[in-house]
Amino acid sequence: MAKNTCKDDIFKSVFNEHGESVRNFIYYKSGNLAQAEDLMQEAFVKLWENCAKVPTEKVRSFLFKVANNFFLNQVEHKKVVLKFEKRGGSGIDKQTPEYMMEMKEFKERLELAIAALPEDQRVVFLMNRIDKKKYREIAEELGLSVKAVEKRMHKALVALRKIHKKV
Amino acid sequence: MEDKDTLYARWLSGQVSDNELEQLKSSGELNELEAIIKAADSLKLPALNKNATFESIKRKKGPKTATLRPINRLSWAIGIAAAILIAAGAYLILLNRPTNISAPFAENTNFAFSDNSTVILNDGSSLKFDENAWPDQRIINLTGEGYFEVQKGNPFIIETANGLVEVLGTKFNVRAWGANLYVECYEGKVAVQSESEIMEVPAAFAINVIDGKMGEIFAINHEQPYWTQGESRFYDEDLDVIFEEFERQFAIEAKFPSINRKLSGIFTHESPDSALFMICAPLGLNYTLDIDKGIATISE
Repeated sequence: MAKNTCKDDIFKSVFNEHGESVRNFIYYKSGNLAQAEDLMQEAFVKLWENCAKVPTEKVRSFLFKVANNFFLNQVEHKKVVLKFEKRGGSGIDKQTPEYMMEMKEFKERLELAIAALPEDQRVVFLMNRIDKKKYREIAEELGLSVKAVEKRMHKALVALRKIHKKV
Repeated sequence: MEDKDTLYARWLSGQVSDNELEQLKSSGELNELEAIIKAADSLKLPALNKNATFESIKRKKGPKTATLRPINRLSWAIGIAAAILIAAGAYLILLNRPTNISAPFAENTNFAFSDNSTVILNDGSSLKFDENAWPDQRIINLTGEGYFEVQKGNPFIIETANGLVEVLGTKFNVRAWGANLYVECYEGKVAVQSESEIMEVPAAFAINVIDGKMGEIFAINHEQPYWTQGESRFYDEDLDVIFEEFERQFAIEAKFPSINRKLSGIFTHESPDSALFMICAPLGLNYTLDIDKGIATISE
């Protein structure tokens, strides 16, 4: 008999492992954390309802697909504004105030540039950098080929390089 | 074959040729890319509150097989619960040739299902189920009160007029008289469903669903229902319900005044006289007992 997530403890451990990255995935698309968390929960409920039909190895792509469907259903086409937590510096305190200011501005420009990326590129970029996913994992979760993921990643970096250009 | 349109991605994952790497260095692209990656890697999102979120998911998903469907479309597919409609305190379940088990007044009844799950029915209580479908389907329709010890297996579902209880393997008591569904769990855990909510009740806890509204879970420190040990206990019940329980326990008719209060209390099963005393004294009520006629008369 194929394994699935119909048992409480298996379902819970699937949630512990993937809940956050499914939430993040929707957040990268929407910039709305509450919505992302909501849709992530709905995706898990759907997983539970269909648990007998989703073998363990298909769980991840199921979750991402379902979450994405919910998102498409709800999309309001608002401008995406992604907010990241203020993290205390890069750990290097010995920099000059000018350097720190430059870094801060650079990061702000980067955040804006990320939010301005086309959704396809933005999602892949953030899944790789923030969720620390390899291209192969991203490919599986988004239903793409590895090559397609690499192309999007490349394009994202091409676009982001522009923040270096001095006006 | 190295593609230009995946160059940066391959650089990032360490899959560029030495040539390509040299070119990136000399053109200055490498520096720029490294600065971007370094800044991007310091971005963080708020951590997910896993416990709270999982609790929320559990509430949304509900017990595995309780689904609401229109009453005239039932399906008894293997392993899937039948449709259940709970509306305004009334419910219906269609069974093919249901098996009926009931406890007469003044007597408990023990029953064992084919999977060794057991139930003790309190006086005057009864249940219906489809014997042929057991244990692929474990659905019971309960009137009154039963103490269940359920073997592990397919979801075991108890429908009552006041709500639904589902378990996977456990010991618990279900009491559904009047307008309340009162459930105590002694081992394992049960899921209790009112009109609009589902609550999981673990061992050593109980819950009261009053008029379709889910109450708060509270702790209990006994491991069997009181009525299996000679006492009836009530939590927030109408006086009618308490006297009706008295009637069932002793097979004595009770005539009592209409008092509009919800009460918690206990009475013993030892004798109708002590039982009446225990009910009436705290309320300042008087009573007379005619054993031959089988009538108790209570007055204020």
